[in-house]
Amino acid sequence: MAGTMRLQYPATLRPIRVPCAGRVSADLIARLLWRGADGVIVVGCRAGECEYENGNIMATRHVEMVQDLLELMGIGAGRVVMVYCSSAEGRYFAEETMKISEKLRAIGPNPLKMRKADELGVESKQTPNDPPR
Amino acid sequence: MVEDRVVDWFTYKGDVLQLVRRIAKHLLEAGVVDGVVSGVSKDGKVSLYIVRGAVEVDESPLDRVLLHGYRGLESAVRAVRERREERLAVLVKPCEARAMVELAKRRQVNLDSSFIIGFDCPGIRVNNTIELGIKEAVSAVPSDELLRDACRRCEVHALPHYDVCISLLASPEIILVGAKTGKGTRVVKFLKESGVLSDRSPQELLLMREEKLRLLSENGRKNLREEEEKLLSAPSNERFSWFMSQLDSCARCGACIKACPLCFCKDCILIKERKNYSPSLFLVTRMLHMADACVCCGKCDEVCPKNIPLSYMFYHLGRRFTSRYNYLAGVDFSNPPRAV
Repeated sequence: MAGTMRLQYPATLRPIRVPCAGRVSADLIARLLWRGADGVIVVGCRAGECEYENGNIMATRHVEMVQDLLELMGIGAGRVVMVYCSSAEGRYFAEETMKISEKLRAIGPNPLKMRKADELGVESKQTPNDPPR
Repeated sequence: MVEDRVVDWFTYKGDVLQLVRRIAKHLLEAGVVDGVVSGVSKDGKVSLYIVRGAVEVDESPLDRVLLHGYRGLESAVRAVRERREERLAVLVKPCEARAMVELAKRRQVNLDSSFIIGFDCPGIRVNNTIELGIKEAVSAVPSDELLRDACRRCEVHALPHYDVCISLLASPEIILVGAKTGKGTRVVKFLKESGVLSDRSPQELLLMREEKLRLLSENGRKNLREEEEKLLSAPSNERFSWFMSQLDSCARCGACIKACPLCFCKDCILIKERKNYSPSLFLVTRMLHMADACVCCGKCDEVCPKNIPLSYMFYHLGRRFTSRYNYLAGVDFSNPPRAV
């Protein structure tokens, strides 16, 4: 809705639509970071509003697990953020994502993507499902 | 699902391997189980073998099975997990019993049709258990330097769930035998009536056992905390370099997946779609799939061809996450945090 309201949200934000935040599992978030994302924002419905009953809760647990891993690994727990927002809240979405983007700039680029491409192994090469670069 | 009652403890004086054999024979003769997960010695190593006749029990190297496990990637818990339609008795340590509880929560193991015979575990020594018999190995408390890496940070030294528990912690000479479930109690009653077990255990011995268990858990927790403090005290870029150097050396061989008692997926995506994962992402994905259920059994460390400290990484992540929810894998039947 932020788009229809013509509000500014970070140009560097790549939205990925899922039927429910509960679809976003911890290993999916990790794969995004391994592919070079500086941060991942998981947007789920507010408490009690999940159409699938507990998808937003499961998403929170997955986000927490990735945050714990990133903290242990020194990549930074602040890179993965859970946001509770309904699809009608265009202004809130725009504001929150701007704030998170600012914080991520302060944290710095993802150390995983700063490594040389050959160190990343197959992640740096095209996999069959990728669009050509 | 599982009957729960106050545990009756009896004493046994004698050779503990003989006791285990008596129990195994009775279970087969009385038809409580279809088989006992045991082994057969081959070239000095033990291969998985399911004993189905009471006659075969006497040749079974049950002590080696418990202490050293099997050659290659076989494990007792996996044997039970892969044969859900059979009623099997299994001889396990607390970590493996915890794994069975976690698997039961995920409907991969039926605790009503399995028969768990377990030991209180003071921790397994690295390589030393070759010389030690089962009695020495499960009675004396080794110092931290002698322990396997995984055992050093283990927080649970008693079986949270079992049918029959054998404890040598209070005394290696006066062995305590306890039964928790209905079917366990029936077996213990039979042994008492046959004269194998004598009277109810004296209270002092039970209290000594509790005290030993408390000290062992405290030591494990202390080591875990110290490891975590040491890890987090390093600056983040150093942690990152260290982690990546370890994770990058992964060969994606899948040995840890086969050895892990908790990895039950028949079609593991990491094995099927190996080429879509870089070495580090392979391990990170496995971590994010099962670290919250990790019981720190250390089998992954044992089988890794690259000697990556897997149980260290997996268990620390698991505990960091599960302690947010006051959850500990495998000690009760509460829902795991990610299975609301």
